[in-house]
Amino acid sequence: MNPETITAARAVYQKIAGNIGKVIQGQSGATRKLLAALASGGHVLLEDFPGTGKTTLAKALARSIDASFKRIQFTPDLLPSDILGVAIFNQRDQAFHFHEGPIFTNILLADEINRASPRTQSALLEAMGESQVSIDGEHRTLSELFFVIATENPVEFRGTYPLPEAQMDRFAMRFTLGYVSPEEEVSILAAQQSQHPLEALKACVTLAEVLQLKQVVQAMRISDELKRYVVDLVGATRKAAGVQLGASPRASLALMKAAQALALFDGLEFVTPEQIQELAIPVIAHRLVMEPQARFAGVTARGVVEGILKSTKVPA
Amino acid sequence: MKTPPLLMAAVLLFWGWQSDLLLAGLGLGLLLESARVIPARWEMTDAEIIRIWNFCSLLGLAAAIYAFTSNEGPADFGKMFEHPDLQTSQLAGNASTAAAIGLIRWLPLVFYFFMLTQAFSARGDFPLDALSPFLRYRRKWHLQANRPPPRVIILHAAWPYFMLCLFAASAHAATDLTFFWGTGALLAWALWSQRPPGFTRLVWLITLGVVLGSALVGQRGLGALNRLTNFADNYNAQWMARFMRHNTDPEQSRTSIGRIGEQQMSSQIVLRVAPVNGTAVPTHLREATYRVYHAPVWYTSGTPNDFTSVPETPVNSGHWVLHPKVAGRALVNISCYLNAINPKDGNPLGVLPLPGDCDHLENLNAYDLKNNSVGTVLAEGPGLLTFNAGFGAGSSSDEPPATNNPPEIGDDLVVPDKEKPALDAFLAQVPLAGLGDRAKGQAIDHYFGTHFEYSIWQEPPKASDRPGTTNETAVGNFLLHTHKGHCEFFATATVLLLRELGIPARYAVGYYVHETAGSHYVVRERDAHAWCLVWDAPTRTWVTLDTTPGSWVDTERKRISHWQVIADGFSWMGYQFAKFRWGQSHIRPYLLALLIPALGYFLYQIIAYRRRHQPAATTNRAVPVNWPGRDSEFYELEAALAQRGLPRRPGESLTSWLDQVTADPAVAGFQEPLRRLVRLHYRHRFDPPGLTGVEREALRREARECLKRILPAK
Repeated sequence: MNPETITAARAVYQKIAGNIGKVIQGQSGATRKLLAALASGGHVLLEDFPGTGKTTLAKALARSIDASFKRIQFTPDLLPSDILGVAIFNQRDQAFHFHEGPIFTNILLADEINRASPRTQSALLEAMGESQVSIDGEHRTLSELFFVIATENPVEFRGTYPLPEAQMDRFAMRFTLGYVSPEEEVSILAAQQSQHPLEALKACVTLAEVLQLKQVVQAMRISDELKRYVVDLVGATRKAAGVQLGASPRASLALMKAAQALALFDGLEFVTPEQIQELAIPVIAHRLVMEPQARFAGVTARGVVEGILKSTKVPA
Repeated sequence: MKTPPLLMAAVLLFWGWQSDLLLAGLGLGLLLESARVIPARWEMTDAEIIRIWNFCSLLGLAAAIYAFTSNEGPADFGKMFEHPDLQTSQLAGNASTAAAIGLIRWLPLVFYFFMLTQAFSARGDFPLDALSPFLRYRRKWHLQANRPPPRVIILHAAWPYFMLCLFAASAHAATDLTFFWGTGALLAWALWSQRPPGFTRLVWLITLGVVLGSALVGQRGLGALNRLTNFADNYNAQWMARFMRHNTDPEQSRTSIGRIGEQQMSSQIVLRVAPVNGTAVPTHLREATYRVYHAPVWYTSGTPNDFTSVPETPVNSGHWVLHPKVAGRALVNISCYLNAINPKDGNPLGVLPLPGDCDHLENLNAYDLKNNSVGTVLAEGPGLLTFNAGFGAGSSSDEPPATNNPPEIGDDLVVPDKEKPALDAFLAQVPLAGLGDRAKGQAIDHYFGTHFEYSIWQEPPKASDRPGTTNETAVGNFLLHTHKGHCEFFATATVLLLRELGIPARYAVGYYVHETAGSHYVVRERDAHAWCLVWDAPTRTWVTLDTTPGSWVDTERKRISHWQVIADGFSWMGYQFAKFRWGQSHIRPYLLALLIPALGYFLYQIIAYRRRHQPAATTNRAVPVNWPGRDSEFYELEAALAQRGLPRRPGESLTSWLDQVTADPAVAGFQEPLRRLVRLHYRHRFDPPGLTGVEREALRREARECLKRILPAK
């Protein structure tokens, strides 16, 4: 791959990040992770308290790319057909016509995903895992760029359904935005005094450029030693105390791909241990099923992964 | 350690103080607390913890065996550190309770090694699995069945060890209140550190005060009660009367004379007698002698309790002299249990069965020995005594007969007045005219043997003979009418008859030795016997005169149950255990000889395993693929910086390590070259195409240069 292509791909990342930065302040880390997921073909679950900017972040990303964007507000009465689409009988020509659901898009914002029943949530399984949907026994392929950003809020329990483990595993990353510093919050207030900056946001990259970025990321080099390190980290969760179900090989794959994307963002052509360490918690932690006793004892999945990062010898 | 600082040192010091091991307690406590200041820690695997726990358990077992088998008790165990005098060692070792108390006292020492390992181990807490093979098997079983393993229970030994120390200190508490206040203070300290946050300090202090106050009141009350019972014990001057062993009381012997029905005696083995040097075993082993008959009881004399101590010469030799004139060299080995308990000090106590003319005792591990004027020997010692009794004609320690004129109570010629008519009537039937004293006794014996029979069944007297209608006594009824009876009838009648004839005589009880079991003899409870001691004026000795018809042994033997052999087997096992327990056998040295190598082996395992297996484990980890780029010169730089106290933790990436390193003032100036170097090094290590020849050379050169510039900068 010639250096110009790599530089161009990196420029795409910088453009999108810059564009998002105009709207979301003090969340460069989250933007970086979000774009790493986008570039590596994974999906993202944003988990944070209400009002921290989850939806804004997703919308900012969608607006920055000249691609189709749809949003589903998850509610308890949402049905799978509301997501996938439905075949309706047309009386005039006596035939069924398929009406595509919101899933046929490039960027899908699944807002408050845990408010829908697991039955509806599961409609996303096939789409997220294989980039295709099966409706009425017919396979329909989704577009080449299909990126799901789901949000959920961790404080509510009533009227919410926890995501099934299989659904959790479909997300490449789960991370939080967190509260910003007081100074940044003040500048958010200043920026939105007259008008939400989101309104003024214009697309800065084309769909073709994003697809090119994805291809460059796939070509980022990673040594066998670091692949082994990824496998060691993920494998350690299966033996860790307090963990009922460790992470799957899908986690290893997602970690490697996302680390490749970060390597590109960092101006490298190969992956270094730093990128793997940076992404280990968002990629691995949400896939772990903790033992109830460990959970009551205050052991968190995040803590387990942190412990593994500290105790596993990092290649240097 | 999660305990407040210095608490463990304080509790060990307290334990040392209460157990008279102040210096040891101080040293152990300080060593344990030093874990807070010494940063060095020991990496412990589960297997090592298991080994250390096993070692401590075995040590505890060894201490227990030693304490319980030691004739002198656990004080012996403590001789490793102290040298108690003979008196304290005797007192400590007297009873098994004393042994248990001694063992408890040493528990902190037994488990100290485990506690110390935990304090100095890198992991801080140990899994409970290490302590219990059962938990380990459960885990293994779960894994084999492909089920999720049970949760690991974490044990932190400091608090249990704290309680153990207090418990151990209680075992040897002083009589004053130091233990009470010490325990109170230590517990308050421990509880203060763990006090619940929801209460104010005042509430906490008031609660503690109430608890301590009520404990003090309760303890005081118990003490007062204790003193009261002690007083009652001492007040009872007749406490000696309670030393009965198999119905043998040195003061009195209640006979069954006059009782109706069958005499019931068990077949339990009570004595074991073995010949020494082929000498014949004496047939009669006497326990006690009595002088005064007041139907149906025989008493020693008018004045009770004329026991005097027998000196052990020399001290601690096991040699006790009963009679200064050691006449014979004949020896017999006797094993007997001491079944009574001295209420004063809790020691086993009992009357020794001895040959009639016993003059000295050998190998007797008694604490105290007493005898009285009629040859009864009272021993205080371990529960089982095995000794050699030396005997020979004419060396009896019995006093010669008292023959006052007129006779007084306690004399050996007194015959109760109401017995006299029957005795005289009987003597008229026996041809005694012209016979000497010795021959008269033999004549009576012969007459009993031919005209009387042995019977354990005593018929009720006929209506016409019933006491009250006639003046006939039980002995009179036996002599004149029934002509049947057991040994007590024959012995009592003989004593009274001889006295009526003017020959001094005494009533003796003991055992008749006749049943062989291999090389030795066993004596059962039903071999208990009574006979007459008659004064032989020419030789000035007391001679045994057993007038019970010889058929009594056969009569008794017929009553043996077929199951007796099983009971005897159990009795033998009990005897062996008693020998072991009371330190009369040689098992203890063997056991110790066995335990010391075992303990040594465990200790060796703990130490040697580290040396043997640790390197193996590391080489195992080092084996994996030889990844590219391991030859990078950057490692020299890293090693140099690590030597300067800036080591990289295993989970730390080079970048975050560099951030820390460059924060160090000595290296601060090298931030940029170091970053460049890391990038190069990373390309060398993690970029599959690797570096070009020029770049590789640059990495080498820059790393060396950096190294040179940083090191002198020191």
